[in-house]
Amino acid sequence: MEYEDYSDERMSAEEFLKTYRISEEDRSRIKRLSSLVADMDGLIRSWYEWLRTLPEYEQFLSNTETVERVKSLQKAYWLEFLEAEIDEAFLSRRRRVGQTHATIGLPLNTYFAGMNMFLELLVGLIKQSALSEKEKASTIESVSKLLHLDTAIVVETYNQLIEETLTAQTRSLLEMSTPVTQIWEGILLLPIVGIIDSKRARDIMDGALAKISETQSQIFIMDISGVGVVDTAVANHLIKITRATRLMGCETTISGLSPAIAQTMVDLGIDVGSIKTTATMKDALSDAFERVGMEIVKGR
Amino acid sequence: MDVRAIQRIPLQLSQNSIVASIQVDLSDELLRLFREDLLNLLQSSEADGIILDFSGVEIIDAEDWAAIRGTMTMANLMGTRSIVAGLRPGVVSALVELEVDVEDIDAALNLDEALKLMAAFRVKSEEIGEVDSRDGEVAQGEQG
Repeated sequence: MEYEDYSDERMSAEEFLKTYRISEEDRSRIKRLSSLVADMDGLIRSWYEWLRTLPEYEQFLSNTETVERVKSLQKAYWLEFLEAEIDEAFLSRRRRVGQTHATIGLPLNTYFAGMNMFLELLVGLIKQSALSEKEKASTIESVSKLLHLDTAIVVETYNQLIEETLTAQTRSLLEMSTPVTQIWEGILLLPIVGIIDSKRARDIMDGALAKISETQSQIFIMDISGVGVVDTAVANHLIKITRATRLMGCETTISGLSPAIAQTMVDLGIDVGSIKTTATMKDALSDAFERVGMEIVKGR
Repeated sequence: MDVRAIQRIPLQLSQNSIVASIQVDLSDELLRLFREDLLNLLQSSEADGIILDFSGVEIIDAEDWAAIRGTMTMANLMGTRSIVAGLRPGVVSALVELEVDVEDIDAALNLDEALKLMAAFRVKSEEIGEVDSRDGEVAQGEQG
């Protein structure tokens, strides 16, 4: 899977620090904290004890090898957190973490819960420490700020991946929705199902014109029986497509005009001019055969 | 600009029609010369149809189109029908989006189809007994 480069839209390390109001003091407090967290392994062990209570544990961490690998990665992650060096390299490593979690399909709320649990463990440590009450409070505040920043980076990555998937899906859906097919020498057919907006009308037109040029077809049948609403805008799109194909030397027939559609069109005062319209695809097809000089003869 | 430096659009007679095969990028000057050449040839030749083959043209803007339509209207005033052939998908799509006037244009997919269409028009006009001045002359010549 390839990831698109979003570096232009992404916030820089500086912007992140500014947005999350992380000052030099915050960072030095967190750095001081690293001496308190002497037993990182212990911390991670207790975090895994919590994780084991979740149903997701079985799903994502079924074999011990994976667990050990993830544990060591996590240790590196939190040691880095305590270094509190927020630069571009830090951001890109965090984004990788986000990508990994999103790619394996870990639910975002499980991720949040995990971050929250680790915050709780860190806060517990701070509370037990020998720091003054005031210092404890501000350290907890600093840790929360950095943790939020950390989570934000990961969420941002999650979002991007979801958006990419959505865009890809929309694209393939649009491509699927305009399958102009050659059904006979010189005859093209496009059944339209769903709605026709200006984007789709444009796609239909481009698809049809390309296909006309490719197959040198003289007839283009557009079946609109699957189109829910035919209002003035839709009719104008259809007329435009017809005009375009005509300019290439290909006549468009619009088939599938149901009684309901015919009624709406007359009620709205839509004039289709000289465009050929038929009630059924069968009529359009037999008319098309006639125009390309073909005859259907029943075999004996 | 030196007029002589401009390439002209070649015109040839085929099946009693003037075929203009336009294979270069259009410009105002080129279209003006084309109009002149075409109408002059129309008068001097026996042609009774014009086929404009655009298969080599990548871009036609609204102004070019207006000039082309103008030429077609003039030819029509001189009693000759015009057919446009081989317009590319991209060109057509752009013209329709520009909302230029494309009504009442006879078009064909390619040169072959255009010649066929022109032949069909001739048959049709004979059927309804449409006789223009040039046909009249031919008829007289046959009688004499």
